[in-house]
Order: sequence, then C-alpha cells, then structure tokens
Amino acid sequence: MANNPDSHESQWVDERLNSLADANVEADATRGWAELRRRDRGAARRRRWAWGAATAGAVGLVLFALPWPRAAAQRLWDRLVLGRVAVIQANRHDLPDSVVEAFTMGDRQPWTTTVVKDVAEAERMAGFRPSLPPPGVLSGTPQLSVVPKVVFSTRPLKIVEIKQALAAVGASDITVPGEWEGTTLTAEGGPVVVATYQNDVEVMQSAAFKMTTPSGFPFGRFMEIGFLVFGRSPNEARDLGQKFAANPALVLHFPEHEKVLDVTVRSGQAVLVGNPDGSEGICLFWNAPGRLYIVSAGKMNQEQAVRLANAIP
Amino acid sequence: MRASTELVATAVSSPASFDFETLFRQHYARLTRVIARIIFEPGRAEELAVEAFWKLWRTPKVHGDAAPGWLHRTAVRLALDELRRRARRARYERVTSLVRQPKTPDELFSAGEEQGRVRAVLASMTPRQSELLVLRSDGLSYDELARVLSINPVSIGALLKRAREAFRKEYVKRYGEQS
Repeated sequence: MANNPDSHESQWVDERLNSLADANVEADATRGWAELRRRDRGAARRRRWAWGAATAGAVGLVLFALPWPRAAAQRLWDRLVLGRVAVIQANRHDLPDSVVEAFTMGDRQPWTTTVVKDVAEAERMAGFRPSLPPPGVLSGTPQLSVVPKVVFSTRPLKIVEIKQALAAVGASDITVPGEWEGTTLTAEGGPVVVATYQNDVEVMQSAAFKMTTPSGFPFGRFMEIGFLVFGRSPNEARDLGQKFAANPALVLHFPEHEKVLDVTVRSGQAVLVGNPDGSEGICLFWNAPGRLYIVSAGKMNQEQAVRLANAIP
Repeated sequence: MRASTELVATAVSSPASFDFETLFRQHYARLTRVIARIIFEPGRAEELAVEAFWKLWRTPKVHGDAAPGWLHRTAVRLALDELRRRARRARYERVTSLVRQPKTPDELFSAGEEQGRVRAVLASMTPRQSELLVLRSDGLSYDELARVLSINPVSIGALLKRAREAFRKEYVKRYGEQS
C-alpha cells in the first residue's frame, strides 16, 4: 500500500542502506587463500598486531596528551570532568591547521609496537609491571604488546596567525606575548602496555608522562588563549586557563549525542565514554598512582567494565 | 596441536573431509565485497574476509551445509565490529579535541557523504539490528535471514521492522529527516 507508513519507512531505510554501493573491490581469491595459509606462520598475526598498534596509537595519544603529574590522581579526573562540558571541536574545523596545531600535540615519530611473550617481558620493556585482571575475569590469555615512549609536540606558534584566529572569534583585544613566537611544547609519554583479550577487549596502561615547556612559560595563559581560539567565551577561557595553570590538562570534547558518565571504581573516580548498556562499545578511563588505565571493549556494559576495573590489582 | 596451515592443507587434500578451499574460492570475493560495502576500505575488507574464513576453519561444528550462511553472518559481524571499533577510535580522538589527529583516507572520503552517515548509524545500533539490516540489504530473504541468524522465521518481519525504526530514529536524531 502506497500510504502504509511501514512501507514508507522500509523504503526510506532501504534507500539509505543502498547508498553503501559496492566498493570497487578486486578480491583476489588466490592471494586470500595464500594469506589464510600464512596465518599460522606468523605473518597474519603480525599484521593483526600492526592493526592493534594503530588502535593503541590512537588511544596512546589520549594517554600522552593528558599532562599527568605524579600523584595527581584526583586532579586527572577533574580535568576529564572539565572537558566533558567543552564544545571546542565545533569550531575547530574553521581554524587553519597551523593554528590548531599550535595548541595541539602531534607525534613526532612513527609508533612502534612490540609484541611480547609474557608479563615479565612487558615489564622489562615498559619499565613497570603491568597489572592485569586475574585469570577467569576475562576470557582467554591476553596477548601483550608494548608501545615505547613517544614524543609529541606542538607546531611552532605564529603570533600573527593566532591574532587572526582571535579576531575571528571577536577576541581581538587579547594580547599574545611576543616572546611566544615560535614556541613549541613537547610531551614525552609512555611506555604503554596493551593487553588484548578475546571478544574485542583491550586493557591499556601507561606510565606517567612528562610535559616540557619553556622555562617560566605561562601555560595557563597559553591555554586560555587556546580556549578562546577554539571558541570559548572569555570568562570560560579565563577560568579554564587558571585551572590549567594549576593542573595542566587538555580539554575534553564530547559531541552532544555522546554518552559520558562519571563512575566509581575501586581506586577512585573513572569516566565511562559510550552507552552504559554496552550496545556500541565503551571506553573506561581511570587512574591509580603512577598509572593511567583504559579499558576498551566492543561489547561490555558499565557494570562489567567497573567489575573489570576493580579486578585489576 | 597441529599447526593451522597443516590443518588447512590436510583438509584440502582429503576428499572425504570438508572442502574448505572450494568453499573459500566460491565465497571469498562475495564476502570481501559485502565487507567492503560496510567499511569501504578494500584492503581491510580482504583481511576481514580472510579472518571470517579463519574463524570458520576453527569452528568445525559449522563445517558443512551451514558454512556459507555462517560465513556471511560472520563477515557482516566482523565488518560491523570494525565499524564500531572505528567509531570508538574516533571517539577517543574527539575526547582530546586539542590533540591533533590526521584524518584517515576513509574519513576524508566519507566526510559529509551519505555513506558515512549510514555507517555511523549502523555503528551505533545494536549488533543484531545492524546485522539484520545489512544482511537484508545484501539480498537475503526472510528464510535466509532466519537461518543465518538463528532466528525464528516468524519473528523476522517484526525484528526487521524494529531495526528499521531504530535506524531511522538514530539517523534523524543525528542528521535530520531531510538529509
């Protein structure tokens, strides 16, 4: 029936799904078969790890991007809570890359991930003993890998560009110190130990990381201007800058449809990103002295994630 | 335990056993295309197609007539898992908005495109609903859907209806009715 709402909806949905037109794929069965046969000889396993490394790398940027003084456990989560209300990314796309990159950190070198055979080897490489959930909490034995220290840095700041960006958001009265010309901030993070379990579960943990700025550099003021550039109001930017001065951190941004939840784990507060019912995968961040943990899981709800966090010694 | 390559070779050489290689050659290209529809990236699609066959090999209980359907479902599931993993990764990246993240070729391609929207919505839905929609979109009949997903055939219509409703609701929530 033409007026049947179900039929209309079906057609509407099908039209959109049909937009996933066949990609131009030249699937080579001979190559695929050879690939399958190589699996047990280790090639595919390495490739899988390379893929895992890419994932770890993305998460690693989160780890390293959070300036994390030792014994600042509670403060870390203050930062996360602050970030949850930020709306910076909405304006970021309007900014030139050179401006964005003056306030953001990119990795200077390619990521390398090394697969290790056991916890002892991970400890030797990472310099700390990874804490893993006891056997039985997660299915199977984890595959371990280590991402070594990575250096991140901002692009040298160009005052003229920052002024232009400030003017674009109506903050042309803000003074950018002349001595900032060419300033670069550098952060060194890691190592990170990644434990990959069955069912798309990863437990990642990183050692503390250090951030270096020019001597006497007013980091809070720098971040205040960064917030202004990214579209925050002057009052908000000032407040955030002051908090950053006391507690260097990066602002977090979550789109409106993203679910973010403060939850409690054994070691304190944690932040859960994703649907608590586990329907679309979640990410749980929490920290303990000297260590930042992230659990990433494809099918895990809030209760299970908290239970897992609490099982990690 | 024997090495898996030995197992594959043994299976291929044994006429009395499950003809794994024939099955592979019959279905590999189609599975790769199905996966590529979902994740777009052809190279990765081939890897996931191999992964689906690898899982099949390690699941002897489905060797036989049920294997093609099982493969199809597994391929779609792997692709959707990949999609969700990418969505999660994108979320990590958004978490630190001040951290520079280069766009992947896929993101560059799909930014603002309908395919990107559809993929984002599929990635946000429950796995079962996404599977239903993708498999149906790939031409499976109700009976085939029921067999592949181990669902009572009489329930397929209702489940599909709910999946479509969920898809539309999420799509409209994100992009609006007229997108």
